[in-house]
Amino acid sequence: MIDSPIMPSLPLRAGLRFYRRHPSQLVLTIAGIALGVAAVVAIDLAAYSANQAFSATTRLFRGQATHEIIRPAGRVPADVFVELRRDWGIRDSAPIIEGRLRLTIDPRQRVSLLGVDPLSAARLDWSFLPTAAAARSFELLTEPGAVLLPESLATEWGVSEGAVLEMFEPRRSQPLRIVGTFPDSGGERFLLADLATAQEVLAKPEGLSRIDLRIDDLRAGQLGKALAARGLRLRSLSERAGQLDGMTRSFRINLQALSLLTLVVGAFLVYSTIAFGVVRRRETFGLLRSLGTGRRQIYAVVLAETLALAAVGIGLGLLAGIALGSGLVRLVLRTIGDLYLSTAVDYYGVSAALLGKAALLGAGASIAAAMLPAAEAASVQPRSAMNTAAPIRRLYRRWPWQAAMVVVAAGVGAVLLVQPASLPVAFAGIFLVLIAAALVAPLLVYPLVHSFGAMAAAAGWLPGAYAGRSAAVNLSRTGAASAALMLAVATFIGVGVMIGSFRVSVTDWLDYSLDADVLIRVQADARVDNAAAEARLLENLRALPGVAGLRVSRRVALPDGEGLAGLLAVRTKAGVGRWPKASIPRAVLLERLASGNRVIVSEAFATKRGVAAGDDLTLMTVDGPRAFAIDAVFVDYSSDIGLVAMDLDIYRRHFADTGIDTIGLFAVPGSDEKLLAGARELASRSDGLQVGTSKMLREFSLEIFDRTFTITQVLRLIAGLVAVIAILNALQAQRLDSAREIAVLRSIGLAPTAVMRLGLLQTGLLGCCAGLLAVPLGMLLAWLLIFVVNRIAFGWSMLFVPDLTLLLQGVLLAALAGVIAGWWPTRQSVRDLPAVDLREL
Amino acid sequence: MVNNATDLRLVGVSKRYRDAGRPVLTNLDLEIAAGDYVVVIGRSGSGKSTLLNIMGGLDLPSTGEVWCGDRDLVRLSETERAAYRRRDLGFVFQAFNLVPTLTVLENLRVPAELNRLPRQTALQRCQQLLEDAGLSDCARRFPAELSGGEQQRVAILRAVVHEPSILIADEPTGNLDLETARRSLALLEQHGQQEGRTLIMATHSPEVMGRARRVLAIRDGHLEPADSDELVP
Repeated sequence: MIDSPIMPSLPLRAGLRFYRRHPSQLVLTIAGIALGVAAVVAIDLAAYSANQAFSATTRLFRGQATHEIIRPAGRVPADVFVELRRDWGIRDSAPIIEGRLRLTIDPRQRVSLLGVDPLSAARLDWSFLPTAAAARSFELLTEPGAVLLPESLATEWGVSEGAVLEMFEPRRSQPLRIVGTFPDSGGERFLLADLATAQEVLAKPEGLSRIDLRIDDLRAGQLGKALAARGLRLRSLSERAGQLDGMTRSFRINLQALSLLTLVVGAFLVYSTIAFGVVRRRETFGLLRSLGTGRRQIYAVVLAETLALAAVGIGLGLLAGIALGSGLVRLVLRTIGDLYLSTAVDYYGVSAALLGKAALLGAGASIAAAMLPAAEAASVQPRSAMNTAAPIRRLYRRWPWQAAMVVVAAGVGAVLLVQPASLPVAFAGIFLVLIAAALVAPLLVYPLVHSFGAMAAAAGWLPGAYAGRSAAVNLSRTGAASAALMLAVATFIGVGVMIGSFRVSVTDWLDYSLDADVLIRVQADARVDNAAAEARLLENLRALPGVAGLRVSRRVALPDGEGLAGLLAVRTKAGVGRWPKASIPRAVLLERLASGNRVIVSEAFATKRGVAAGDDLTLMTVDGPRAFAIDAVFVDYSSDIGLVAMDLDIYRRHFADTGIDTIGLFAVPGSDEKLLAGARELASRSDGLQVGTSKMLREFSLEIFDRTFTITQVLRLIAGLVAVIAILNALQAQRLDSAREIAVLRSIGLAPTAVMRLGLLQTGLLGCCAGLLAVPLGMLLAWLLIFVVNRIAFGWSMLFVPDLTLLLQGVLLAALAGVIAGWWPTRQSVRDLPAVDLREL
Repeated sequence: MVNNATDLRLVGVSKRYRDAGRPVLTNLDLEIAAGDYVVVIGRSGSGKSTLLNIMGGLDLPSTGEVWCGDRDLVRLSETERAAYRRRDLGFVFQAFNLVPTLTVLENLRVPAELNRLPRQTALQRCQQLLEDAGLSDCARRFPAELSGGEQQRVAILRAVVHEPSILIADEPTGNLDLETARRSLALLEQHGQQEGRTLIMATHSPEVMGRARRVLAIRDGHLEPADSDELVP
């Protein structure tokens, strides 16, 4: 093929003039690309800010520390700190007591209280100490209840030095007095106090939460061994950072996948516009070809036009993404704070790499979307310049290629989804399946709208016949937009069904795990740390009116050397209640757990560790490593890192920990209120007992659940918005194509209102068809999210609960999107006099 | 029998398109009585279509009045103009302009049903018209499946199915060969010259000019009776 000498700038200029004559097309396409890019930027920005925030928090409160000493189950004895300095000569170390509390000033969110020895912390160069804490060290050490606040938190709460903060928990009346503030990078939710104040306010038992220290690797090796012999663990902070990153990774990937889906919907919009532009300019391309312009030049011109549009869209998308990101980052961090870490930090600005990545993705998606229309433009024969064959014929002429692409995309997608090695692979599989569905959508919409038209004609309903047949004929113009709308509605349905199923599953799980009627949280200051005290307390509780039974439990970090998963020790002999929900009968399970070194593990734990019933799990007991047989896998959504459960007495035998955390009281039917009143009365006479109801906790859990998915809802909304823009864009294109038809109908006497009704019937029909196709696709998406993505990301199994209302909402949403999107173009078609459209075309 | 035979009257009508240098029509005055047969001639771009569009309520003059009976089309709302086009007018275009997604029968049913004729009555009338025109076989076919001549004859039937008082045809034979054009014109005149119906046609056909009661020519935006040499082929 030899390209002609015609300057490529001429066809390009002609192309750009075409878009200048169709400004709405131009604006909608740019808006579509911009929204897609904005979604990617915003989510990346939120994730980036979250990472930056963790690093900043670490710098702020870890200073130059390289390691930390923790005790997997329980607290670090205070004398370890003394030994470090005295026997090991490690002066760069700081003891820490950490806990969370609620204050009356903001009872909905817990804040962390960090108890430190300011003088020791200064040796680790905590970044804020030279400015604030050092100056206030004396007051921190000597004044009971003295705390320091980050400046951002003080501003948020509107408090300053000298203000008193009241505790929300009624039994803890210890007020906190602000003695100063320290600069922070924004959004830190920590209070800083002296060790003794923290111990008292948090009512923690003896010992420390951890010891931070700065040592080299050689010493770390020696110290680690010595500490391991005492049931303690020396962990490097870089390892911890990696684990934290791992904890939030699945969450971030889920969001990124959803933002990419928005971009894919945006790409369909690009396809729709460019394809429209190509069809409208067939004559021009034919003419250019007859004048000697080569195929490659035409191809390049269409891609150059696309890039020009994309450049504007990407630029706007980056700006919108930065604006949106600053809002989303709070949602992301709040969710991460709810689910994983107590830190909540602020927007951390943008990075060039992040913006560059989003720009490349936007440009790549736009170019990929424009390749097919560009090829079609290049294939225009000079002699066929005037041949405006019916669009649907072109649609079907392409079908073998389209079918091949569908088969390849669906096939590769299915293969990736059968045994996905990782979350990105699973999402890649889902994307391919969605793209296959989008490619096949116009071919499925055609028989639907065509049948509608045929049925309407058979019934003698002319507007229906016209709407159905016109929708079918115009599918080459509106097909991509229908596909985009179908994708967006399928996402709406799929993600909605997944969230709904998840919620039902969590509610069901809460019925099992919060099976007691009244919950008593046992604080350290209750002093129930020996058999006699425990027996006394339980005796008092059993004597309460309306008690049918009680269950004692203890929850600690899993003593497996990593300390990230949880260990729940439950007195299984009680036999009351419904917990746990597992694959084998509960009575058998509880009997086995009580009979020896046996544990059950949560689904998340089993998935993350690759263990199953019948395997052994090695735990670090006081007598050294011991193997525990895994009896079963149970349902638990309390942690996606994992939970191991065992009998409380077995736990005590192996881990020398006699504490208890929670006592569940089961009421005789109809005695809930009496039991609650009795428990409250008992707690009012005792130290360290907090009384709550399962109902309260259940509501709180579901509140966090709903909050977790707020950001998902935002992204669903953006995807929906792009789809509406896509359909609006396509309908604008269709309006231009059918303007003459409409003008003819108006010349026959069709009134403007009748034209509006006809137009909306047509676009509503298109939306309805896209919605109907979105139902099975949405269900498939939900199934994949539940049984593939969630299993890999979190290891959870869920019920699959299709919500008929949601499906109906999806179809109505699509029809409504069609009607809304059709309103403006239809309105435009009656704005001018009929002669204008009859003359122009 | 046509519906409400009415006179057409243009008073001081001018039309200037945006970005155009000179006006297409300049200060035209014209009266066409009900039942008249008027042919408009003129060179390409002289303003024939513009004049017919204005008389048909498809376009509005830049200045002037267009009276149809006692209604000034300029002052009517678009909905009222649509009612005028629906009840009083039949329009035949050079490019046929049948709705491509409706069958021949359905194309004919559109104006009938817009005028709220009972469906059965409308259907019978459409079928009768098709039969009279020898197009019964085409009833269930789509416009793209017809020849140009067939399409134009269907377009003529569509323009008269609702018995309008005014029939306007804008170069109805411009896209047809001689023989086909003759058949179409015969059909058009057959329906256009029914009692009380006004027929206004833009054409270059000398035969038609010969049969018309009045032949008007547009020159430089002005309307005047055609010279005798303009009537000679």
